[in-house]
Order: sequence, then C-alpha cells, then structure tokens
Amino acid sequence: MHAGAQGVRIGSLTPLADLARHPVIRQTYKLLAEAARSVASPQIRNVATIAGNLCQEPRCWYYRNPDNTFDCLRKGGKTCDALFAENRFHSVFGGMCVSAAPCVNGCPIHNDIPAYMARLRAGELPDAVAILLRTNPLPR
Amino acid sequence: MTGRVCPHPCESDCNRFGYDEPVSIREVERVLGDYALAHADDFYRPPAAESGKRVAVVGAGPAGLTAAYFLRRAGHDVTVLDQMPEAGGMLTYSIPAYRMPKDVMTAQVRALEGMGIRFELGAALGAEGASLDDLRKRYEALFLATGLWQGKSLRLEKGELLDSGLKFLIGVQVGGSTPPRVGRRVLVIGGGSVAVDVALTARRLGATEVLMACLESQETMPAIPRMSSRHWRKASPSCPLGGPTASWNRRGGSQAWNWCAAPRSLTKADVSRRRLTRRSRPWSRRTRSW
Repeated sequence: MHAGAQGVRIGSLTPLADLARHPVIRQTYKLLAEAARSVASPQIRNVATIAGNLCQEPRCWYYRNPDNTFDCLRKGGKTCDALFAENRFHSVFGGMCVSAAPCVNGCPIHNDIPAYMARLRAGELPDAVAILLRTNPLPR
Repeated sequence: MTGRVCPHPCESDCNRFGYDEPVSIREVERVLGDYALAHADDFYRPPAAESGKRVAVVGAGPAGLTAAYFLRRAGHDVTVLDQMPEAGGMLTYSIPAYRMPKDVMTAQVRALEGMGIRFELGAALGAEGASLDDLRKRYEALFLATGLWQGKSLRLEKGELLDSGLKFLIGVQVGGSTPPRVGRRVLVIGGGSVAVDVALTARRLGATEVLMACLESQETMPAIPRMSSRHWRKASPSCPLGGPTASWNRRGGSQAWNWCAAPRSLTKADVSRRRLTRRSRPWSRRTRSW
C-alpha cells in the first residue's frame, strides 16, 4: 500500500485486515476501512486479500447464475439456496443482504418481521409492538 | 385480527422451511397484538395535533378500520360508518366465533374509539340512508371500503338453487340463539377456508354428515392448513373427489345433485404448480435441478 499526494495505491494481495487497520485509510478513507472490517471474521480477514474478495463475489453458483434463475436473496429474490440446497460453492459469508427478508416480501403489507423479532429477542415487547403497529393496526 | 386469521404467506416463504419448519410468525403477532390491546392506552393514542379535516370511512371491516387508524394518526377527524349493528365486517359476520372470538373485535373497536375515531353503526347508505352526495357535504374526504358481500356462485345448471356459504355464515352470526336450520346431510362444494368454515359450522349446528366436494385431496386443499387440521377431527367431514354438475330441488324441499367424480385428486405437485403460476415464481424447490 502506497499513500501519495494523488491518493492511495492498494496492491491486489493486500489482506483485508491490513486495509481495515491502516492509519491513512482509517483517517482519510474511513468508509473503505469500515467496509473491509465488515467482511467475514478476523481469521478470514487476516488471510483474505482484496483481489480474492473481488473474485469471491461470483463464487456462489446460485448468485452468479444469469437471469436470477434461483430467485437469489442477494439479488433481491426470496430464497438463499446457498443455505439449504447444494452448497459446495456457496456464498453465505460476506456481503450483506440487499433485499427485504422473504417473510417481509411474502407479507402483503410488509410487516417488518426481522425488526420486531430482534426487539423481542432483546426482551423489549413494547418496542416490538410499536414496530408491528407501524404497518398493521389490527394484529391481535 | 391477522394474529388469528391471516393465511400467513410470510411463513410459507420462511427460509427456515428448508431446514425444519417455518417460524410461527402469526402466533408471534398474536402475542404482540394481545399486548397492544391490553395496553391500548399506550399504543392507540389520539394524535398530537388535529388537522381539522373530517373524513368518513364507509365500511367497518379490516380495510375500513385500518384506514381509520392511519387517518386518525395523521390527525384527521374520522367517522366510520357501517350498515351492520357491529363493527368488523367479515371478521365479525363471516368468520365463525371459534376462530375469531367476538371479544377480540370488541376490544379492538374500543381501542380505536380511544384514539378518537367515531363509529356510526347500523347506518346503511343508499336508498335507506345518506347518499354519497350527503357524505361529501359533511366530510372533506371519503374512503369507501364496502367489501365483498356478494357470495360466489357456481356456473351450474340450476346453480341458483344452491345456498351461498357466505350467506349461511352471516346467518349464523346474525341469528345468535336462532341460527339457520341445517339439514341432516350437508354437501359443501369447495375446499377453501370459507368452505371449511361452512362444513365445520354445519356440523356444530347438528348436521350428522358433512360431505366436502373439492378437486383437491384433504392434504392439498387450499384452506389455511392449520385451520383445517385444528377443528377437523371434531367435525370429521368426508371428502369425496369430484363435484356436482347440476342440482335440483326434490319434492319436500331437499336437494339432489348430478355427480361427476374426478378421475384423480390434484396431487401436491399440481397444487404447487398452480400456486407457482399464480405467484409467477419460476422454479419450485422440488423441480429445480441441474
């Protein structure tokens, strides 16, 4: 990694962990540092490189299949076959879900089910009720 | 309401389905709903500021009540009108009380009244009551949620002689202690949720034998699955495959049918295919292959 007046040059074999803790990146390109830090787990970040990360994305065959044949969750679909179907080349780790959860998509009024479930798990029943009432005033 | 009678498409789409069984989202929402109504003063509050605008909602069914709730939250002065003496629409008058208890609706209406929503019940519009023009003069905006009170009928020779399942269920709710008379043997045509409601209610009202005629087998009937299993054993209706092609009245008032047996019942694959086309999903889990 070379920091100069025109910016930073990052070699393709730079581990994500280095990127996440590099002082210049953390100061000047904070978003990039945070993005690198959000990938997978520390063990993986210590080994995984930038180039590898770029190649990793199409590794999941459900994700990379053209025309979204598999209704892939990360492409805005409803199912993640990387979790339950043939998953030798899956892409469960890394990245983030870019669409609503399947239950929310299935619900005609799109109740924010994961959000109120999270509050329930935290034991905050009134918060969960408030989230549900945002979209569904007749839940009982 | 959704915590009890929603067909929960969220659960059918749950990813957990591929592992063991879906998360019971409907039951969770029921618990949350119970909490909301038990603490109605906290959750169904009048708006902080009034907009000064008056809105009439015609129809106190689920759509009307929902519209009333959101309009009231936006600060409007909301009046809900309904032709029936009680609010709830189909929730009150069509879904049997063993699935949708009356006190739930009473508590819900009380909560909505606590927000400042007014109810004018037993107020039919049209020939006997106010016209739309009258309402337009009294209110700044109207929301029409009159619902689907016309039952489905079969395109069948003499099909008009058949009783409507919807009318029967409404008759049970309105009749109270004098429910509609039910014959000894009852044939229910169809396998959806309303058909199951009709079959089980007829059994409760004294029918000794209930036949359900639908193209699906008991496992693939389109009725909400849990509903068909929960009260099913009590009523034990039998499900001959096939359906009537014509009906006529016998002397003495009972009805007779020409019967057409189906060559086979719809299999699970047929049903899932039908569901697929309905929801235009390209593949099902089972048909997917390399």
